[in-house]
Amino acid sequence: MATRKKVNKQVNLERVAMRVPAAIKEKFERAAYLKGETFSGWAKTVLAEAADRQIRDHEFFEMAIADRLSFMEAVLSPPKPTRVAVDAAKRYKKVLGL
Amino acid sequence: MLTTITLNRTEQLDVDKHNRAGFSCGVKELDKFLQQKARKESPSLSLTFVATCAEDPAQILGYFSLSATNLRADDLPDDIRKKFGQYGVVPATLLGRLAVAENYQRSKDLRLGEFLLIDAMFRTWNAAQSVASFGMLVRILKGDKGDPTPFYDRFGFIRCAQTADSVYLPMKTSEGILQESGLIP
Repeated sequence: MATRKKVNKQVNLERVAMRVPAAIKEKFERAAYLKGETFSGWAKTVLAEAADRQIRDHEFFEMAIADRLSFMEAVLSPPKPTRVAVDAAKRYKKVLGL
Repeated sequence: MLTTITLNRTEQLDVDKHNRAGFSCGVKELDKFLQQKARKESPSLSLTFVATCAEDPAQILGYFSLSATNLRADDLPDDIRKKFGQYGVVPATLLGRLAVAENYQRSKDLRLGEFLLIDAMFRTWNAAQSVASFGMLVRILKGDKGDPTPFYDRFGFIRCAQTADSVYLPMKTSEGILQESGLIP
């Protein structure tokens, strides 16, 4: 029977350190305890989730389905420019001498 | 505060040239963005453009920031989704921030808010000639200065019915504005 050999991938581990007020540290530790995790295990999970969310938020603009549908409909039949917008654009052109 | 102002074309924020610390619009978050975040976000997250004048080119009269973003489409009905390509995302442009220096907010001659918004539309339209963007999206920040939603209403932005504080303007509408004013053919 073939035995699967455990492959240890070489991962460079780096240290993350930060200074926080004692009360905040206690709060972190309490939260980790409630989750049944060590502080560093908990921090890694929480930070990784926050990072994913942050990156996703940047790539995607959160919008309700109904509003995204309305957006797409507006793109397919775009509203006419408002007078205010056209006048503003004319002033912009004039001010810059374009 | 300057009495005569000849506006320059907007330019990308240059921290060696523009005086960020002197900028105040009355909404802390917007001042802080310009002072602490704008440079760090450039160029990978967002680009910040500033309005300056010939009389004092270091002084920031107002600014806005732009970035590329997307709307999810993978959860939408096939018939409409397919009109926007096959990738399940709809590319758009985010007008992340727009602010005018407090001293110049009331100036009826300068109208810096509209100047910045039109400039943002113009830049967005130009960029969209190379990289697709179907419209401009704005998440409205209701700050110490009140609610700017009516400002966007006047320019034709459409309010989201279900997504809080969000408005958008289709690119074709921006294009119409720029065409009718003669900024583009």
